Amino acid sequence: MTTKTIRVDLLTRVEGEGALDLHIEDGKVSSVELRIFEPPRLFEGLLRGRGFTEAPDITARICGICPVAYQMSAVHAMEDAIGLKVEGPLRDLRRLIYCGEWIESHALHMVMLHAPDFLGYPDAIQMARDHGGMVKAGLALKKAGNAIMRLLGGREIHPVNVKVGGFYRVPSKSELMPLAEELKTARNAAVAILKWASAFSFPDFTRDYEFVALRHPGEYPFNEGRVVSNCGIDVAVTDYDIEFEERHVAHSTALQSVTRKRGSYLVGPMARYSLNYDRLPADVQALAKDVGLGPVCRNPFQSILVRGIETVYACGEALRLIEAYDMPDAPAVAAVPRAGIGHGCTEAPRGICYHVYQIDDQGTILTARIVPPTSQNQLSIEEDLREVATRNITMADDVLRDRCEQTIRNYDPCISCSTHFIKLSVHRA
Amino acid sequence: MTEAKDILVIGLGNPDCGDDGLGPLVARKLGEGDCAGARVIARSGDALGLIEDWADSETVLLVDAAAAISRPGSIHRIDLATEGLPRDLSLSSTHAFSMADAVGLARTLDMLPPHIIVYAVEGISFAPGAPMSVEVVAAADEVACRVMRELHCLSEVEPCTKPAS
Repeated sequence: MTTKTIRVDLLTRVEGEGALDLHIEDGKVSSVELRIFEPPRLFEGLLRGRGFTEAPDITARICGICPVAYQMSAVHAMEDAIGLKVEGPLRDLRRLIYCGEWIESHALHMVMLHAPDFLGYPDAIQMARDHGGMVKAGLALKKAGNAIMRLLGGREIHPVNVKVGGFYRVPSKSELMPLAEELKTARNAAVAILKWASAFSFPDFTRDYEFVALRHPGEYPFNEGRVVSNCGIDVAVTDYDIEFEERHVAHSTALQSVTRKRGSYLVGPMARYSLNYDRLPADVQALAKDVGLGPVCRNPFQSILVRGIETVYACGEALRLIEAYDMPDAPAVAAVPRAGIGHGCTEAPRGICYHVYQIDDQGTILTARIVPPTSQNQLSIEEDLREVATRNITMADDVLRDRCEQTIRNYDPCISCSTHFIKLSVHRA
Repeated sequence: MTEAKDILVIGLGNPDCGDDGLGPLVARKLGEGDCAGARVIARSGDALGLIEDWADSETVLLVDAAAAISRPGSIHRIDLATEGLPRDLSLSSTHAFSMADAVGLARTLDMLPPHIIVYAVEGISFAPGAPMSVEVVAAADEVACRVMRELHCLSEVEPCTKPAS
């Protein structure tokens, strides 16, 4: 018996700290483990005993790339607990700040993290020598997303202006309008990047995923909707636990989430798009068709295109929201505590982010549970890797290693908020 | 002589990760906002944002921590107009893109400011929640003084007399 081990000690372009062990025996993949060894961060314990109004600021610290997702899920959960509904311009501003997060996060991933895989560069810096125009377009796009975050959130990383009931301060119309010009340019940049990416060569790979996303009666989802899947799930956010459960696996400090009836599922851009294609404006649907996407996308390597479509949508939606904006009389609706349990689920760039809290009549948090998108995708990532490795078992080890890394990056995983490395080992026996 | 309004000081790092907090500490000592005619900011998180930060600046002084290669607390001054970032000086990052990545990308895209000075301080502990080492805290005072002297020369305004403690 011969044993071969291929080790990659430093895989960049993913968020967080983890490793992949791929074992191949007698020419077959025997096991795949996405090992997440990022230390437990204990946010749920940290929240217990704190006031319900503190949740958005504390949970924003979970992620530097998608803090809005954590803030939005937290405020919706708290408002659910106290029976508060936020409507009108405040609701629109929440969609707008979410547009900002999608734009900056998707731009970062598409151009700086994912595109080098398809063009054969080790990183975006090397890629910039030959594709400088696209890298500059990506930076401009990211800047536009950051500008929205900064104006509405007070700063682009870990925003501080979101509160239960609305915002601490809301912008005037005249403060918002300069963003419109930047967003028009950003939308053009997003279209250019999307068309550039559509010329990439995509591996011929599809899987029959169970897609899970929010679905709203009239909108492409950000903050609200029912939790649905293409395999029959259709529940209110409050019934999330009826369909899903978390389980511990020995090789991961992050809990893995599965459907109770079937197992792995996929959240994120591909799921959102495939379950909500009919909620996209006609011009965005036409653009999707132009770049070769149908109403459903099952090729994870094409997720870069779906992110591009969502980025174009987010730029257009942000423009629409700014043009329709009327400054509200008050920056927030009063949030009066009462004892209760509240659920919130919103669409982070990487997929649904679910929160549930129990608070007492003074608003003190008694229990907290947060299910981030990457923990929901973990099992699906492992299944993709098993399938990719199986189909490409004859590849040279270094080529197979690169393909596996790319397979992980398809998900834009946010393993933690601080990026270190993922160590990939292929063991052949 | 460079116009004062075009000078930017950036303290880069995560204050919650031990010696990685050097940059923000120096920014705080200089007084975030304005110091000796320069704009002073602290940045943590994705270093790609640096390219956006310095877009309108003629001169940038960038303060960051680096993994120790000789003696913790050692201060390196690197003028990127005349030299590259030393390969053996591993500039620490807890982020997707490090300062070195941002500099490299900006250089490739011709988006690097005309004058950029890096102050790198060798640290020893970058663990989440760890305190800054005594050596790096001491170095932060020295770096703040050196940066103020540079700002004085650049802007011809009265120097800050002493960094805030």
